[in-house]
Amino acid sequence: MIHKKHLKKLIRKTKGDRLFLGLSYGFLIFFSILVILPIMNLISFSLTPEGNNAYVRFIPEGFTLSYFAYFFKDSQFITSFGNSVLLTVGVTIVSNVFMALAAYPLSKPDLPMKKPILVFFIITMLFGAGILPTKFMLQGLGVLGTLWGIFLLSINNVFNMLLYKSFYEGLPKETIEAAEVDGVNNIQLFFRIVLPMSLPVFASCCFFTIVGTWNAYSSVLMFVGSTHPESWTLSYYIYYLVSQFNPTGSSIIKTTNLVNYQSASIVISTIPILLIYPFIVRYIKSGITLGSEK
Amino acid sequence: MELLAKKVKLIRPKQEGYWHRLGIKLKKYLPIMAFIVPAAFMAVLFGYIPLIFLLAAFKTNFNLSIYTPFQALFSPNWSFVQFTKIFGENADEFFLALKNTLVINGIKLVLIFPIPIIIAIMLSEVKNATLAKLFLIILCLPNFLSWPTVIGIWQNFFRQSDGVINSIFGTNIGWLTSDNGPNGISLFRFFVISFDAWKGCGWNSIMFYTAIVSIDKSYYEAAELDGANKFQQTLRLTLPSIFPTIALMFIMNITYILSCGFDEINLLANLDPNWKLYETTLDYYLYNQALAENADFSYATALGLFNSTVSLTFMLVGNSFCKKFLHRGLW
Amino acid sequence: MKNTKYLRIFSLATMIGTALTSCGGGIGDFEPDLNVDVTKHDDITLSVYLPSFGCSNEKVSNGVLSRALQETTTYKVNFNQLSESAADTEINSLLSMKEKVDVLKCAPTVFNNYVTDGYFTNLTELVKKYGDTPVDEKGTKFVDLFTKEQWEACTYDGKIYAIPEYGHTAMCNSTLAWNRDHLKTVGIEKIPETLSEFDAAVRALQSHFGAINNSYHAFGFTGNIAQDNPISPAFNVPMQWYEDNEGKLQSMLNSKEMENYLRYMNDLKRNEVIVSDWVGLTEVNAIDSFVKENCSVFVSSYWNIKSLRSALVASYKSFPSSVVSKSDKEAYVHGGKERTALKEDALVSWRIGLRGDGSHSSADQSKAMFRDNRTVGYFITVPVATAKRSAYSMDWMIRKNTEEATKMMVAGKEGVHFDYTTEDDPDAIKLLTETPTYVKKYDAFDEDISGMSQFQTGVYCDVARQWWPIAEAGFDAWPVLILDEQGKEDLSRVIGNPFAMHPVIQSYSKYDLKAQNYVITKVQSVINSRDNDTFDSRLSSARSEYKTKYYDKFEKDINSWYRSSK
Repeated sequence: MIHKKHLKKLIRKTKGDRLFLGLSYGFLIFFSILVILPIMNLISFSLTPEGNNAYVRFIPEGFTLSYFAYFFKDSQFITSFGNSVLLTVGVTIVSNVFMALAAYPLSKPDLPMKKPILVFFIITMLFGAGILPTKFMLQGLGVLGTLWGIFLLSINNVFNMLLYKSFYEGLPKETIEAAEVDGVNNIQLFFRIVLPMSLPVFASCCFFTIVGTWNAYSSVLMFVGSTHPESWTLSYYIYYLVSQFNPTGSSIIKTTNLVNYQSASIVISTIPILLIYPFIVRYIKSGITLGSEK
Repeated sequence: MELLAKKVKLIRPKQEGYWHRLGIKLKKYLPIMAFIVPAAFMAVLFGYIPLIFLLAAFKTNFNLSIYTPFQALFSPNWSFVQFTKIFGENADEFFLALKNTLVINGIKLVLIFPIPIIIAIMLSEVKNATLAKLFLIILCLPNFLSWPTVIGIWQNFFRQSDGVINSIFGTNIGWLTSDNGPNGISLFRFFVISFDAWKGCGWNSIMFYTAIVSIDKSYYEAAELDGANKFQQTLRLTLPSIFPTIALMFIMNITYILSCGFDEINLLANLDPNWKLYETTLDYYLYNQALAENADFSYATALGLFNSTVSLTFMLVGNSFCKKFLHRGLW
Repeated sequence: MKNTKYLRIFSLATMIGTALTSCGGGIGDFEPDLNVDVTKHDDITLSVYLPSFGCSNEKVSNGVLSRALQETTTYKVNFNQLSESAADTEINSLLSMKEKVDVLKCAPTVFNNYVTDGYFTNLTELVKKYGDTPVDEKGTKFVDLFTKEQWEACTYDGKIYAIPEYGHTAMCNSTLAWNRDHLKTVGIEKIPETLSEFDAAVRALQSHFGAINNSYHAFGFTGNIAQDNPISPAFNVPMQWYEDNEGKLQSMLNSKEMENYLRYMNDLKRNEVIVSDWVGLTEVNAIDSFVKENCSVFVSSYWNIKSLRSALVASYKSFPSSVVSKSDKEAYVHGGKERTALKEDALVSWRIGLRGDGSHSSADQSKAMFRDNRTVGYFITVPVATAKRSAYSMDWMIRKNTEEATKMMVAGKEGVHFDYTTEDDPDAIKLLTETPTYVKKYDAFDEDISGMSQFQTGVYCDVARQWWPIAEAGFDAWPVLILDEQGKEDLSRVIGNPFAMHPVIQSYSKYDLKAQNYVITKVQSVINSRDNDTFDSRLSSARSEYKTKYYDKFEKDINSWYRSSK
């Protein structure tokens, strides 16, 4: 029999529980502050006029948009931004379509030679050729130092292929078989039926590819380098600024406020990612859950 | 006699049936297998053909002055001297880089690995769904910033002149140098580890968070009825339930122990020459030998081959470990 | 069936890959073609890579000097700058990926690193064919512009692989620039010229201003000049190499003078005279800190004086209250209305050369010593990728070395950037010619010519020296320091380098780049020691590590060359 005092004992939280809850909230707020404050500091530096840098903590001291205006007129910055956008859009679409296409047959359980084909792909993921052999390969194809080289290198992403494969394996067979009975050919089957059904995974993989390509600077560092400024991407331009290599591009930034220019360029480069971020959050959670259950 | 004829008759149709079935399968699947061709072409072009150039590791000198890379492969100076160089002539710089990598990854494994778990546990305590989502969004944000962005953000804090830390405390310490303050400590490892933690912990906690959220609520109610407080619940219920996930992430971290993240190290190494010389890791050493200093291409290729082979071994061992103890592959 | 399909894809891809990677011609493509007619070069555009100019690509490629050079030499040229900090990586990429670079100006360590593997074109035949071209009206031949030792420094295995480029001892590149107002505040009226005066000045400045301003460090020392600055000659620090008691070549790291110099700099660092992150700074940071009054003296190169002065006019905060308008500020910074000559009352004042006077274990010198600039400073090479048309590159180099082109590079165009004038002109600058010649500079010089230092090198050196005073007044070391009372060259005041000009020695060249970087990093870390014990241990470990890692590998070869050359 359950007496009233038993119920009260159930409902009232003990002191230890309240401590635990308070501790949790406290730590979470602490971590959130740890994330937000440096970003606010960055934005403040990008808006502070020169001369006030010594006083900047977390809000701007004074206000100026001159740093942003400078970058909108800087031809090297605009070239890099355009390159980044082109590269990101191109790589995302081509890479994900190729990988999704390849994953579809591999999800059929009785595909002939399935194991050897899988091993064939997984080896490329495990054993990389290294910096120099890739560089020689790009040189032979004549694309070293151009954006095409980076584009071609980024297409092969076996991890995404495996994600797609495991998702397709979980699709209901009846829909597919019904479509096949209707006489739809394979390409239409894939693009009209399978792909829309796999939208969560596809969208989250696309988002990860976008973020990865937008942020990557090491491939540009190794395979394009500072001798071909027309092929720089935005993240490489920011790397160049942050490392305080005196820019020999279109104009010289005075070092009296290199900090402000660095901060402004970083803010501009992060804005596109932040714009897409909220839309993708709902896809991410379901996509990761599905992916992690494979 | 009749029995023998019957046996022989039974054998042959089986063989015909096998090829017959294979033929039907192929006919059914061949159009679909054409889907694999684009990805396979890229995989061959950038995954397999560059492996030819790994042969450059087996030469005494890979001279690209007048030969193309492919022509230089055919010159008759084969030897294993590059590999003995790794352990002989250049042993101190190689082992220094290796030691730095292992130390940094080891500290990360011990100190930073528990943090996503703690974050996930705390997040699961938040009952309000929108608040939990808000926290998640904020905490996952650094993961989507590029490394130059992250280092740029933290440089503003730790810069010596106009740095926020120096201006708040009124000090003038050169945090980002190798010889700072009265004790001359180099803070390189601290920065590498903490920036990596700042960037990655929020995202890594999602994995544990989904695992915790999927634990059946009735277990918690039963535990509470039995009189367990929150701490005991966490220790005895949550942690063992997500143990497979923890073990998987742990084994994955050990598998990748030789790779430390080239992006971050390259950015930090540019700040001080002593860091570049003494504190950088294996990935940076590989990059330096391949592109920056020497133009000793065969040695750089040998290093890359050695590194790839060792990583592959680690991954295969890690995968078999996973399969044996957790009954699932790494990927 | 499926097997052959994949096999076909694989073999097709392999064939494409190998076909593409084997593109590249036969060996004959890497020898200069001697039969071209260099007078017809309208369709040739040369691609030239030079070290960083410190100014924008626009000014370098399309500015007044490049157009003037194009008119004089009649060649179309594309100028590119290598970046300051990543030059090694860029050169590696340019050479190994066989980019179409016609002329590449390399530092000695870079030249040594690549020449033994054959990355540069063999120029011997071209020098033989075109070397007798006259470069001035007197008929001086191109080959005679350089001494026998300088040509020898460019040879490897008996073949010439580069054209030497050298400075001249009158070209004093760097000086100590002082903030006059700060010195007056601490009661010092005379710009320091000896080591004791320097020491007293910086300590007084540090104790006065360091108490007010937390980020003040009197001496704006930067990492790239750790041992190559106006202070080290006061200690008689050798230039890279010296001969020890046994007649062997030793690295400067081992010399007693270097140790004294390092102790002095370490003492300055420990007393906060030098900022603690000096290793990562370059001259631009020092200028920045000077303008913000976070330092009062720094080492300035002559090509940065213009940007220093304009930065002061724009951002200096401690002008006296009477100085308000921009022209007032300019007069204050330059010290008077005339902007060309060095005035005594200028805000920024400098002296070349610091004399050691026996204090702080420095050498006891009667006059300040200078580092010898007559060694080969740079090697001008033609990478093998463009070997076939290297005749054009050679022709362009020869035309650039003529008297007319040199005058253009150093002084600009007559009537636009300068004009000849008489002795009694208040703006007159006296040239270093044999017969007294006076010119005056126009404002356009600062805009177009000043700071374009890379154009001014690789030119007819004696002509450049004659026009040197126009480049920046006050940097002319020749009459002040090197000439003795009779007006003759006094080479006893030059710190030489016995190993300066040597032909390429294979075992040394392979280690030169790494050894050089190692010595610089070690010198910087020794200066950073926090107490005497650390100093001693760092210096001794640096010396022993250098010996085992680098010196032992090439010491036999370089010493045998040295003995044979004496």
